[in-house]
Amino acid sequence: MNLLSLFHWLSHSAAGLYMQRSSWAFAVAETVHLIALATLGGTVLVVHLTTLGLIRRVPIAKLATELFPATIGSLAVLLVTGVLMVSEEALKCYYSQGFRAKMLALGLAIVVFIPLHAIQAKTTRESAPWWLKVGAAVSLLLWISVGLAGRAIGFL
Amino acid sequence: MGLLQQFCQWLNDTAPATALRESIWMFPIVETVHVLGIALLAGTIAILDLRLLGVLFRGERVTTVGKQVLPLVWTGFAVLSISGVMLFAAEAAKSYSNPAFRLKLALLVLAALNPLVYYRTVYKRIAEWDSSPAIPLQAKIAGGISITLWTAIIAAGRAIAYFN
Repeated sequence: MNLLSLFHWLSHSAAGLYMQRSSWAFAVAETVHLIALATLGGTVLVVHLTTLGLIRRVPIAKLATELFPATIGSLAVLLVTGVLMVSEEALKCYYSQGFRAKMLALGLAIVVFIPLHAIQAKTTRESAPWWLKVGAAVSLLLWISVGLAGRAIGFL
Repeated sequence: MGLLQQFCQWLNDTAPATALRESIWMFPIVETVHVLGIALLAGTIAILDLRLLGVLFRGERVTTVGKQVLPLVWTGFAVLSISGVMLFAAEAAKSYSNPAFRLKLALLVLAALNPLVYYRTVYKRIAEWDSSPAIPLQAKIAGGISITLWTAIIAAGRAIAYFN
């Protein structure tokens, strides 16, 4: 099954048909998506800006550990509401440059975030080594790119 | 036409507001900055709210968590105020009668009053409960109200576009 047929399948799935018929489901999914974005963004910002040394009070490891469930939980909500929104207009998304850029940035952001988090959660030093700071900066830029590309889907 | 509506119409017709409204790139850029600013303010203040509610960082002092997140909250506040005023100016005439915009402004007033009450009352005795796991009910309520209001503000803000 190629990628295009996956998008075809999604638009004809029960979720897709429901999203296409309902007049308010998209608005609700979009609003929940935005609230989860705020949660993911806020937690990622606090952990990464602390790793970068821009704010510091609570140790990096403690922040990373305590905020991880909120980050992952909001990522799960973003994925579910995201798939629902895609199912409403699957083929439009498939051909959208903004959507493709967003999926690429999202994939990279997750690939970088998981090992980065594992290191942050074990950091015992007060200030992070330079390579961890580079990782945090790259991760932040990737998450911001996901947001920017996501916003661009509506404009392009 | 009421005074407030006249003001909105005047603001709407000023040269900078008209330029922003008619711009191809500037309006979406300001809108994107506003959306990303939400994470900076609402996403970080939620961490302090959850500390007050006893969900996160129970082992850390409330003031420590506050010092950790409040610089980001205030940065987010600056970003959102500036971009928000710009977006409002560009659509002031339409926004005046938009029910979602009106609701959002009312919720913002409540979101501003909540910390004013909190810092003038229960926070004055912070030394007594800063590191205690038993947080006064009033402080928990302030945290609960804050997280609820900011969630509602995001929802109302998103709804503005549906009523325009």
